[in-house]
Amino acid sequence: MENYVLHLLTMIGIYAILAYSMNLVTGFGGLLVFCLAGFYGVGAYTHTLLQVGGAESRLADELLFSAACPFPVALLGAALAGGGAAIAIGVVALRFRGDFFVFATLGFQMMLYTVLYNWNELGRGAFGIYGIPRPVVFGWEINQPWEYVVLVGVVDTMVLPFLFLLYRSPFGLSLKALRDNERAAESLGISAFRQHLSALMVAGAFSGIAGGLYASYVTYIDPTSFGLNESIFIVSLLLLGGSGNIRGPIIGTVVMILLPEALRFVGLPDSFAANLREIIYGFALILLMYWRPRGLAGDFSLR
Amino acid sequence: MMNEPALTIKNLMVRFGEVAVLRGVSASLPSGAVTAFVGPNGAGKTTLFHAISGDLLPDKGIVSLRGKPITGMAPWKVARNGLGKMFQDVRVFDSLTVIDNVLLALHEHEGLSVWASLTGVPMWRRHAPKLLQEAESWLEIVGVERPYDRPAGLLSFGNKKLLALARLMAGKFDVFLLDEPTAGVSPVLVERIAELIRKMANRGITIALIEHNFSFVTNVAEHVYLMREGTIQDWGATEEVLAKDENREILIGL
Amino acid sequence: MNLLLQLIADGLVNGILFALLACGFGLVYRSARVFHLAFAGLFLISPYVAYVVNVWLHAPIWLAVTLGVVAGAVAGYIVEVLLYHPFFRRKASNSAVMVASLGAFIVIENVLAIIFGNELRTVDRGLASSFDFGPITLTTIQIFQFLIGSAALVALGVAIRKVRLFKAIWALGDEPELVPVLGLPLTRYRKIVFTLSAALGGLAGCLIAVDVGVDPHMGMSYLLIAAVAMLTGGIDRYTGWVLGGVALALLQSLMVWQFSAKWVDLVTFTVLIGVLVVRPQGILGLRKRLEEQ
Ligand SMILES: Nc1ncnc2c1ncn2[C@@H]1O[C@H](COP(=O)(O)OP(=O)(O)OP(=O)(O)O)[C@@H](O)[C@H]1O
Ligand SMILES: [Mg+2]
Repeated sequence: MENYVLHLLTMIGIYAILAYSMNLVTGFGGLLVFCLAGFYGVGAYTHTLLQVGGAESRLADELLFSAACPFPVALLGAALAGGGAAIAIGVVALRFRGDFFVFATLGFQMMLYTVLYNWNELGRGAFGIYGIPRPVVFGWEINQPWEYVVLVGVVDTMVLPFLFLLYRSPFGLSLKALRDNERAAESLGISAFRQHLSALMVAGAFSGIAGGLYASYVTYIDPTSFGLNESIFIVSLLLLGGSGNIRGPIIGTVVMILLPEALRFVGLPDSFAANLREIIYGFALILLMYWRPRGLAGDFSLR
Repeated sequence: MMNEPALTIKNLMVRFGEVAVLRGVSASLPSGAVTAFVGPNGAGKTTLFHAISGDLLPDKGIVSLRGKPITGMAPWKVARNGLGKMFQDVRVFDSLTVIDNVLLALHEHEGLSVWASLTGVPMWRRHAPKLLQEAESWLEIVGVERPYDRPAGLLSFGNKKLLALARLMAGKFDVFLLDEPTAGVSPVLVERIAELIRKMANRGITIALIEHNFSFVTNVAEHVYLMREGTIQDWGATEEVLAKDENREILIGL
Repeated sequence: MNLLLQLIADGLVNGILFALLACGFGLVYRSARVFHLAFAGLFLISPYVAYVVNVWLHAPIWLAVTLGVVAGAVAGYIVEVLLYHPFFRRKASNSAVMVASLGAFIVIENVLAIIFGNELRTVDRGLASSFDFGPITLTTIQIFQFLIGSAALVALGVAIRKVRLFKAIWALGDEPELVPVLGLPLTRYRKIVFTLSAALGGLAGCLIAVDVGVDPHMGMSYLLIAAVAMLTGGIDRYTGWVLGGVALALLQSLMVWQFSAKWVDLVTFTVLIGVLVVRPQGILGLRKRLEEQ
């Protein structure tokens, strides 16, 4: 029971990073994106490949000389890769607006999934990568559930303040202006493309870190953890909690992580429960958009 | 005209599908002066401003700002070159506070990047009080209704116009395009806006405005361009143009 | 070379199916301006109904497909009445409608998964015989797919150009505010659009299922194809949607020919990027954007 609580805390810590990253793009920049799980996945794979090197992947072996990087370096690599993926996506998708922007991010999410799923030389495709080493941070080897909680907590306290700072900075202000009226913001000399791309890049980098944390926590990754369903989950937790401020995303994260756990206690068969959970998310999205588009505690509703 | 033009437009053409909305418009704005664009509804005045500011890609023609061609440049680049614009439908940032609307214009453009926002934390924190003061003084000069810390979306229409003006004045622009600054505004405010425009012109800012209010035009503008169906019908000193019978007919008879 | 010809023929047949999907999706986007993500679940309802009628009730396949399409159309109608119309009455923002639509997709997908399981289901179509056309071999199923699909496309194309009702529906997307002013029954038009769209999608779904079967999670990648086909061909041109669908299918065939079948999904995205390169202003040009803000 105690371990179970610690597990939930760890997951909340990881998803909080995702929620706050998404918040920068959606709540401040006004852009709905369905590819955050893609960045998360890129981070997880990069982190893993940087750590295991050639043992699991021929390609990584050639590229990285079976690097076996230490945990902090791998995490940094995950951030860079996530940010890079976000830039690649942003450069294309940001040429669209509105529905088609959202659609393009959705398409890229599916593309990233296809790549992870089929590129066997990279990350063993559908089989996934087993035995990801447990993190060792400056000599401290992390094994116990409580140690993971501490690790995630430490990473969160190092990473999230950057996002909070950005929310309140001139950069955040310009994002909000773009969200309110893009033309007017551009008439003040603010480049929508540049600011939106930066926001995406930051979100991608931080999601990459979350991915690295996740990979070294579960020690096994495969593409199904980073598919469209996962992106939809991240979007729902942000929309449920509300965006555009600091309290919304964390409320959404806690509720959405605990909700399926509550379902578990009802005692449904496993396969059925998974589908039922998805159905509940689906209805939640519909009802939320109808009755409370700004979520439980948000400052911004989609437009 | 006396001094060298701050902005020149040569043979600008814009068409929407089959319809030619601007059919070769040429004009120049003498620097430090106020120039008005008048004409009946649908004459293409707003379209002309859009084409100048880069919000609209002209099909043909050249726009140059102090000799530098800006045709087809992205709107934010045009703005960084010193051309500021007030939209016909105002467009304040509704969810930002009144003061943040002005603050945004005050920030250096480079300071808005992620990098500057993170590394410059001590800087923008330290500068914050100064900027805040400056923003407040602009709001006071223009006379936007207090309090300044509520969302701009709550302002009345007239106050939104004033806020848009304050935002423009706070930014580092030396050419203003004002699309109907007095439309839908009470006579008292019209007088104040006229005063602000004259003040700006005295500081050397070049101003172009679109207006339907002729006493206002006579009051503030030295030069007038009369537009009709996408062409310049007549232009010259304000009194002369507005005095001609055929022009009066276009403007008032329609 | 023969392989290439064969792949091109297969591509053409697939292209007709993609075109049907693109029309189902495009009709809604063009006239109701809804980004119909629920379509990805909706068009799978028909094949599953056909599956039930055919495999569980042992009815012949033509009856199964007919009933499937009817059921799909009804589902489309219900989705408009229960989901989109309330949002439309509220004047909800596009993004909100899109998210709700995505929610509906998730619900349909998982309800189907609960009822029918996650695995692929195939209908009982008997043994397919095949015909040789020179170097090309087509199965009877492919021939039926091609003929039925083309017939539906031609019928729709003629209707959009000639029938008054359809012309009015087409015009809906240009001036949605104008329609009620002109005294046209907007609500009824929307119902027609969503029903017809679901029927078209359902037909495509059935034709796909007869050949390769159906599973509850395949909807989204077909939706991507439909949307990209519509984008590629141009949002405002019916023939463009059809050509876009066919072009995508042919490109997929080329992909299979040159590389491997597992990468066909990438074709869709590559084309999406290609569209951007060819039309650097994006799909809604600068002017459209100016208007809309
Ligand atoms: N995006 C567009 N697409 C098609 N036609 C347009 C578009 N924008 C403007 N027009 C047309 O161009 C013409 C000129 O419009 P414009 O807004 O420039 O007029 P205006 O002189 O500013 O009028 P007003 O005094 O009423 O503001 C009008 O006939 C208008 O219908
Ligand atoms: Mg105008």
